[in-house]
Amino acid sequence: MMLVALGIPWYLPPDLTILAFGFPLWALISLSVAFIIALFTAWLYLVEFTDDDP
Amino acid sequence: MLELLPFGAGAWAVIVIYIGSLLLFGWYGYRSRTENTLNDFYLAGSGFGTLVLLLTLYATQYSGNTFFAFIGMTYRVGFSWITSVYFMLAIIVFYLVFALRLRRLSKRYGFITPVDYLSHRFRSDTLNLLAAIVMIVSLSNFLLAQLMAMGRAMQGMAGGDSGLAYTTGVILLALIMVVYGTLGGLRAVAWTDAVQGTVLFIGFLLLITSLVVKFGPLSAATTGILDSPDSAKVLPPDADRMRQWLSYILLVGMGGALYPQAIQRIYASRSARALRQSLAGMAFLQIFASVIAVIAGIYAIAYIPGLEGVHTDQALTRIFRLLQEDSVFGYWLVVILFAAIISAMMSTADSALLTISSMITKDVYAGYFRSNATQAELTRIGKLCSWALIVILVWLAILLKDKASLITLIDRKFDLLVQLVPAFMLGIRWGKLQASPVVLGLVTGLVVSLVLAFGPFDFVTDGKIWGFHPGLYGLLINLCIAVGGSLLLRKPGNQVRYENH
Repeated sequence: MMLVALGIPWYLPPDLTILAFGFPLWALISLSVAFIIALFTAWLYLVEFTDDDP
Repeated sequence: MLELLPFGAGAWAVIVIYIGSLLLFGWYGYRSRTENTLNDFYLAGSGFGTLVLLLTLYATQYSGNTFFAFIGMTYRVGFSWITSVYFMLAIIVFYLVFALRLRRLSKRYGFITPVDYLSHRFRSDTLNLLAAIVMIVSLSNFLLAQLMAMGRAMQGMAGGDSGLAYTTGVILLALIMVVYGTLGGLRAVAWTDAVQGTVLFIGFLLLITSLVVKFGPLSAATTGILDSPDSAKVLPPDADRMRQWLSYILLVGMGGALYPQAIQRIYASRSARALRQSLAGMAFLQIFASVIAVIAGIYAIAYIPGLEGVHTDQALTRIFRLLQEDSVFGYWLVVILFAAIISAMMSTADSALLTISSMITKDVYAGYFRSNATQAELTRIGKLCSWALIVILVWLAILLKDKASLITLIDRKFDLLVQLVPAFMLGIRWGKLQASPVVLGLVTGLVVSLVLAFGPFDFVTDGKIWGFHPGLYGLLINLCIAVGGSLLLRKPGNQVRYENH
């Protein structure tokens, strides 16, 4: 949930127009956080959540 | 899709050969069956390894409408539709709550349908029936929308507003789908899904590549939008849009995780390891597909301005038209992209069809009318059920051709499906959850969601209340009743504690 809170850009100024790699900066931050969430989720599946294996 | 240049004979030949080849998978699936049982037909003998499971989950999650709806939505709201990246990813995150444990239980107790788990967990006929109805209604609506989308795709390829192309498209594609589905069951559906998932993946790659080649880098598109009247589509979302963002994450994340056809794929995994690896891979595929749809929408805003209202959903076909006109390569690219779109529609529709058939057969027919039916009889009934269902839905798809607004009901499928969250996600983790409060919570949640969604209320804006979907308000009340009721019923001597190990 903390990562989701970081991904939704509520903490950035509403008139932010800086671009990076073709994306607005806020969108790039948001996508980066989504990628971190995906990495974390994959890690949980592959390493942590093995207690339900038969 | 009426903006496309009509496809020539060569393009039609490619599409026909591709779609016709799917029948071979049905035949091969039929030849590969090991026994005439529900498990073999609906769960492919629970033998899916990592790659097939990954591709079938991917193809099932991404319907043909994903292409059009996501790109259309980006066209309307701009970069804020990065929301879609989050809610598609959220589906995989919510699987963490229950998927692995559910798979283990399914192996131990031989589940075929999602309702089998509920039956095992709560032993309540009322809950079983209610859950089956919610899932069948949600999926039937979804399947109808896919059939109509297939008709429109064929209409688009034929060029012009041809009613004959629509009708022929719906009938032919539905026929092919039901033939390979009833021949080979989930085995054939998953193999075709694997092919379709691969085509879909390649389609996404080709789409983004062709956009960059045709229009230049994304930065030019974004800068162009910033200098246009649409500049707000580049800015961070406002407060209401951010609340919607959170709402979508919760609603689609939980509702999408409870797709009955996806739950059956969890049952069908060969091992916990295969399931874990597939879901880990899905986390990245979800991001990949959604980001590309958003980028395509941004290109559409920059280079195809002026679309409004329902026409925004045609942003992708406008892009296709430009690519077609550009070169012979562009023309063939669109043929491949269209094959990918039809793949996505068929793979979603065939999975929904098979799952509905399994629920009607196992949960309704065997559950209430023929509890002593043999496996062979149930399998036969399941196949008949698929044919009967597809005939009715094809008829409806043709009948409702010009009344697409009725399909807006599809938007409510997640509002309905999330009401099953307490039974599945909480029930599998909290042993003290009891059947009666779950049933009461489910009924209340459904009523609240539907009344809020369709009632004449001033405080409901664009189908949402303060940015949140009605289904989430229903779910909140549903959860309170399920948890509160279970705690209240927990008296000495009246304890019903479920062991989920």
